[in-house]
Amino acid sequence: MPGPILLCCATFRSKGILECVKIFVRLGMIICGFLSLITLSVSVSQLLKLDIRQEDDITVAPIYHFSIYLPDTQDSFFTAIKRGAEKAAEEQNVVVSYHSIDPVRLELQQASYTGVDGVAICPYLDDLFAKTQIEKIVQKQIPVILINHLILHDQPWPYIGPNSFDIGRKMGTLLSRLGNEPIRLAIVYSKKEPGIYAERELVEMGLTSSIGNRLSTSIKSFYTGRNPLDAEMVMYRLLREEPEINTLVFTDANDTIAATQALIDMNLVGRIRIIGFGNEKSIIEYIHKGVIAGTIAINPERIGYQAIKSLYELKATGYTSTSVNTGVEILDRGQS
Amino acid sequence: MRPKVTSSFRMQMVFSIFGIFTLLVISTTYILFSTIRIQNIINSSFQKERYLRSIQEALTAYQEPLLEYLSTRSSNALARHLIESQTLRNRIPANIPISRDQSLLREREVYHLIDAFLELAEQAVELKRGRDVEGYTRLYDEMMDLLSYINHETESLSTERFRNQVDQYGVFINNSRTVLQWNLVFIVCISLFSIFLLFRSVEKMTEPMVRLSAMASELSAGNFSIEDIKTSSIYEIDRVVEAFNQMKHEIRQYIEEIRRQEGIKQDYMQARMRNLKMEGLVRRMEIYTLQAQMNPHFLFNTLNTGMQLAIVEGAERTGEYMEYLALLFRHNIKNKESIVPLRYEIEGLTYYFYILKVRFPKNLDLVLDYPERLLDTCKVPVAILQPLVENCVVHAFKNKEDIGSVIVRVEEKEPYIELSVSDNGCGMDEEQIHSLLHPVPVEESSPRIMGLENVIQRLYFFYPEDPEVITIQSMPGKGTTITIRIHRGKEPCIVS
Repeated sequence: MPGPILLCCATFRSKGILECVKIFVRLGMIICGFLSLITLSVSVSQLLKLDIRQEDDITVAPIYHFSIYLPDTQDSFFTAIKRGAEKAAEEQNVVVSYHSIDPVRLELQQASYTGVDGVAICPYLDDLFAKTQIEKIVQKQIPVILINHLILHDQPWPYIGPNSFDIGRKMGTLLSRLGNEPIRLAIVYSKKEPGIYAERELVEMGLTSSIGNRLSTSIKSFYTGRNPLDAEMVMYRLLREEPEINTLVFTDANDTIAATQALIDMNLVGRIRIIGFGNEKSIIEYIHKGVIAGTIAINPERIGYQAIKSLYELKATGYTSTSVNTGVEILDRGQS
Repeated sequence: MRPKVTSSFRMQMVFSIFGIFTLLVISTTYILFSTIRIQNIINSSFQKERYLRSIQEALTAYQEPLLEYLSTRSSNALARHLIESQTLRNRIPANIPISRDQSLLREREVYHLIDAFLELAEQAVELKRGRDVEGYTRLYDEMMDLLSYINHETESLSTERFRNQVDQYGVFINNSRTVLQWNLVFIVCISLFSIFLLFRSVEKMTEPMVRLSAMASELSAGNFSIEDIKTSSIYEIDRVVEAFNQMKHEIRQYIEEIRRQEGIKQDYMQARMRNLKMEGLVRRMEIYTLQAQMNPHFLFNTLNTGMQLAIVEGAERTGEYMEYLALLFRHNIKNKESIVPLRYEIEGLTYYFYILKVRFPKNLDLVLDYPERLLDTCKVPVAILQPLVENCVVHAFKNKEDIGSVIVRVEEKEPYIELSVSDNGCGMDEEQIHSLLHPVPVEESSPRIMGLENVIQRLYFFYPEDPEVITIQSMPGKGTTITIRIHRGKEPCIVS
């Protein structure tokens, strides 16, 4: 505004008040007109953008809609599976919706009616129920893939995940590296890791095949529930009931962390060896400190990623690999 | 040229007022539109939920005719079932696109579930017709599970959306407040713009009138050289402006004409005055000449008698002297013209020189120097040299003992002819020279006029545009030179 005022003052000095008023009126008209246009433009653009709902970006419409049925838990393992699935979905230009496999929630029972283009199922505890529902879905010509846990069946449903026997064998390999003394082994299964729990026989077979001659007693089994603190209770019970055990193998990351902390609290580090599960940061730190001898890590993100890729292949071409082993890793002080 | 309807004063006023009114109405309409849109957005935010809820209710209501048909096999129930089924199908979107939004994906699944539910119902009706009791009972159970799931999903979806919208609603309120604030600024700006536009329109319509008023003031003060008023776009005012400009031009031309005529009249009066003055001078000259001629006529006759007596008595020199004297008098008498050839003037001067040489044989030296070729080609006012020589002889050598010298010289200095009379007499001071060259007006001068003054006055009359037609160079004791300079190309101003 100083510019027009100065101009008016200069005009007032040179031409008088009438010319000054005339210039003021013209400048005012131009400035107000300009400001009106700007404010109107801003108002219109704000108004057009105004919406309570976020509009869907349909610039590149997804090709397929797949569903993944997972256990009804927020465990990091399943979160990683979802992360891998999202990555693959973005690459393949498909979308994924997630449902619970819990029979109580009726979601898997109605999967065949949801109009999806493919279903990936992580079977959980009740294989028969899962098998029935999968057959129902397959009848509707909807492609189905099993992830993390295989159900025995006469139909070759594609499977994406680790091999449980392989997991056991890797655990045995890790134990072999630790020394030659006799092993009195206990495995702690968890409902938080239903795949391994479901195929526990295979795990134990793998272990036995690897260190069978060093096992001085039969393998003991313990179980934890959904509560992440169950492992602590198991540790106290194990020391009380099975004091001869010198090696503990865990099949869940949360159980590994909780049990290790209990071991430290009871000052039993060095007396009992722990083979952990998972590659969480705290587990790696325990390995560095020598509290945990080593850990078995599977890659859930890869499972999710490969599941969507296989579903896409199956939907697009009608074919995919019958089984994809996503692999098992050993992490100990030398490798972590 | 016919005036445009749109350029009339009345239409301009109507346009201005209507234009500003329209601008304000449009602005207000926009404000209203934006407010309505905000309300619509709020309203539409729950539209999908209401829609899903209505489908859910319709689906529940759909159970009744189906169950009735399956129970009673009533044709009425079947008809109602078919109508309800078709209504429900029509309400479900035909093509549900796959979305990246999880909420929309779930909605898509719900629509597929409803569609599947209707399919199952159709199958159940078919099985009922085929009396497959086990089949339609099983299907009905499955339908109930499906309906339960649909209801659960719909509730879940609505709850999830409502939860999401609570957060988005806060953002929406902030954004809508921003829009309303911008609208307020807009309405203020557009109002100011309208006011300035109104000022501009008023100024546009009244400016020519203001200029007309100023011009009228200037004209009344006698200033007709002011610039024309520029025309505006208003027809009526333009007519007034054009008429006013034309009136100003005509008045200016009229005044200029009057001034020109006044000038001519003034010139005429000046010329007439000058002529009167000249006539007076001429009259006085004539009186002077007549006075002078009275004696010459007497002297001329006497001299002729004396000359004849001298010849009879054998005094030849006296006779010759008297002859020259007679020639001089005759020369002076015979001419009546104002402008004469230079030869005539030199001839008279030759006679006069002879007489002077006889009168002053020892103490006066006279020289007459002129080129012969100029004598017939140049004309000069009559009797301008002799009075000057006479003035020298009478006044220059009054108190001088030695020989006086008078030199008369004629020279050509293109484009002038220069006549000079020089003496080595007592000379004059500046005051005398000034008084001679600036004589008093004729009507104020004394009737007895000297020869030199007469010459000066006549030269000024004949050559009024040349103030240097006669100049005097003189210093006391150093002699005097009087120079007459006449432009050869210019005719003397002779009174007709």
